[in-house]
Amino acid sequence: MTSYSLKIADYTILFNGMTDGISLHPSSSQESFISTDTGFDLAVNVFTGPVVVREDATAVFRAPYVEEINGTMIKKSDEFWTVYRLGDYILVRTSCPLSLRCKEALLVIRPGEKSWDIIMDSSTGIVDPMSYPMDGLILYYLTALKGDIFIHGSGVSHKGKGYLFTGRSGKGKTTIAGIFGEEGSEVVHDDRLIIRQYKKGVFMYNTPVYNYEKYRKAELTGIYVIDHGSSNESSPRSCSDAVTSIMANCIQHHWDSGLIGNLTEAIMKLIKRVDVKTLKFVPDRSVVSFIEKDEY
Amino acid sequence: MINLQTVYSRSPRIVARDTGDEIVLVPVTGNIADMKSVYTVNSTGAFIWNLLDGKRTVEEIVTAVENEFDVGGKQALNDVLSFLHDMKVYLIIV
Repeated sequence: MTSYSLKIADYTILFNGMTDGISLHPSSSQESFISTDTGFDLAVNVFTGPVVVREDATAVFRAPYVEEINGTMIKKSDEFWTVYRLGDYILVRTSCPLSLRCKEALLVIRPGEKSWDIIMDSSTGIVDPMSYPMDGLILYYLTALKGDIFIHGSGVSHKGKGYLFTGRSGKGKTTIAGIFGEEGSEVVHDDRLIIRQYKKGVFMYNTPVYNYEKYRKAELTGIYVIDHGSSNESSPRSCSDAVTSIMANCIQHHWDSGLIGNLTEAIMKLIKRVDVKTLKFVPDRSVVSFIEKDEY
Repeated sequence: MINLQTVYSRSPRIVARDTGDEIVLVPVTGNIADMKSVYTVNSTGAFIWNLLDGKRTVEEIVTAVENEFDVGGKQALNDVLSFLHDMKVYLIIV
């Protein structure tokens, strides 16, 4: 196809194939996110061709290629993707290590505009514009520019309440989501979530960034910064401590003071609406009843 | 060694947001390895932070702290020097 839309975190993202003969093939993980909405929040124009960054663009952020293996982060290469600034534009040039059809891609972001571009270095003309890591990059910049929060964490919807468990790698995000899942709760996602704040409430959403996912969302009523413990214990976090601990687990590129300011303000707004606690937990079903009784 | 006549400024590579009693300081690093570095300063630190305008000397800040928090001169001096020392170490002030 030459055009399709995805609905992610209540944003409709329209992809338009622009080059003659281009064919857009979203991966199966995006299936349940495909939308029939006619409007859009962001239109991404997709081109095929050589990826070239203008010489007058300034590199502002470089990300190495890091893989997490059994909870350990292992750097595989110094060069993965690089962010450039060109006037008001943000350019992200990346290799596509998991794609057979595309070696390199360039995302052209026009902050404040509803239309961005992707150029994909593909000889076949068949491309998935959301192939890794372009999926995370598009979602990061879309949400960061809109003032949302993109966070490493697991989220569950349990008996009418929505809990977010965040923490560094190895602290039990997937484990605790699995325990709630076994108790019949809906696991919104077990690794990363988008948080959006509306007048009507604060909501967390999953994304199609990893495996096949159904579109999920839940109202967020409590946040726990988690760690393993010998018993189940929770304690409230102070305001600044809550900001610090949430920010440390957010997906962020940390090179632009405007984006950092947006995120800091979004977190400060969030913790005024949703309490943040520390949770030390035992990895069994006792943590579910502990949280049910834990007052927010 | 911090000289009382020195004038410090907040680093332009820091984003600061006031949470009420405290201030959250986030460095603009451009380096993925530094993404966990977020600092918070308490109410005294927040007061000093707001005086680091590139115009006031350290001595003037000490006097302001002494008046604001109703503490002795020695205590105010120690608080300011300790705060500025930490801020210098983390390159939060220049």
